[in-house]
Amino acid sequence: MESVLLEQPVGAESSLPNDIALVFTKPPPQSDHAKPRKKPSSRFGGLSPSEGATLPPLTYWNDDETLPRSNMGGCVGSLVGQYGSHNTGTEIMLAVDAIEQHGARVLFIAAEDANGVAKTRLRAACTARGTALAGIDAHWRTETETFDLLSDTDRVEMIEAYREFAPDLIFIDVLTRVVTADINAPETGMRVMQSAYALAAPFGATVVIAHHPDSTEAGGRCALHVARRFLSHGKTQGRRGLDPCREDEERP
Amino acid sequence: MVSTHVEKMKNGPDGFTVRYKTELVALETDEMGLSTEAPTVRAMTAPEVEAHKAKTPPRPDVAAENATDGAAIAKLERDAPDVLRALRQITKPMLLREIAPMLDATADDADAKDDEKGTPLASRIRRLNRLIGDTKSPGVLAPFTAPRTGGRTSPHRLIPIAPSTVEDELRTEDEPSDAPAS
Repeated sequence: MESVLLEQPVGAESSLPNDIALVFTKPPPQSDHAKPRKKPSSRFGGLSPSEGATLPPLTYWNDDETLPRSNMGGCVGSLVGQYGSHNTGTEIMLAVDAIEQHGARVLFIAAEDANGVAKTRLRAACTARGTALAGIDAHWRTETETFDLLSDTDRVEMIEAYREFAPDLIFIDVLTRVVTADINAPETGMRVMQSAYALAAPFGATVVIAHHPDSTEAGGRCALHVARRFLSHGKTQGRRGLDPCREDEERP
Repeated sequence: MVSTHVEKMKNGPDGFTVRYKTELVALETDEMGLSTEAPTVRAMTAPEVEAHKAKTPPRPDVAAENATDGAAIAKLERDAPDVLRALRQITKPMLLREIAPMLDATADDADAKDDEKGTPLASRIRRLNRLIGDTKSPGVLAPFTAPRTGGRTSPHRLIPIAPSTVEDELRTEDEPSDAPAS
């Protein structure tokens, strides 16, 4: 092995302490890679590790921490329960809680029973809380029109119609009424997931999809397992079957 | 009541259940005089949560149920002294039908009836099974059963109990608290 002896310039020993002091006082020059990236114009581009680490933590719309609040481009989840297990009532409670506590704007796509939700259920929830219906007018919309979640046209129209309202929470009640495909097929599950995120992303909203499994609990299993970001099961205790006053509105 | 179980929550806690209260809210009465009611869901109040928790039975103390200490032996001696004597005679885990001949005969002449029916000792084995109980309500003999290796249908085997000199000495007739015989 050869060793090379480099000749030191005159005065090198005296300049060394100054160089050391300079290193610790002057910020190092940043390379091009270290500069913060601008937000890409395309929806693709991803996050660097440091950008991902600085994302805000998961927050919730309610104190029970069952309804997450999107911190990045919306989130999608499911609320699964048999007929008569108060799915719609639970959704309305979560929505009104979010309005009262956080001033959320709620879009309720009542595909199963728009009339009942708009005329009776929401009014009953507000009456029980002592809240005036007019008090939440600016925060609530019940969508009564038929809606196909998998239809690009329907989604674009829906997003355009509510662009000004800008909902923070979107409830879809129920899945089987907004999907015109075999929800047990895996590809349908993927399309449901993509469509729900496509609905959530423009508003940065939380989308909650209610679903009634069939008696064998096989219905919608594929769709839900692909689509969910969070999944909650609703169950009624102490009473079985349909509530008589809900019989018309809850039957498929 | 409505139970909402959070099965999955990405980047957040899951696997917990939140319970809500349901109630009917009367809205108005129609022309026929019938009131319109609608179900609502609301958060439970603190007293309601406490009342609900009070309904939940306490978790079984499995360690205490399986203990083979002096207390368990004392219970067995109180309820089935002949079984305790039999378990002190054996030296290895034995089947119920092998232990049954060591037990006392019942007063209702059940052994003779079993012999007539061609099922000898069946009543004694049934008695042992009652003393063992089941998983939901284990009996006094349950701690002294060997683990069932062949599944739920495998026969029970009882484990031996080492003879205790202290317990033998503490007979009812000459416990230390009794007055000495004159």
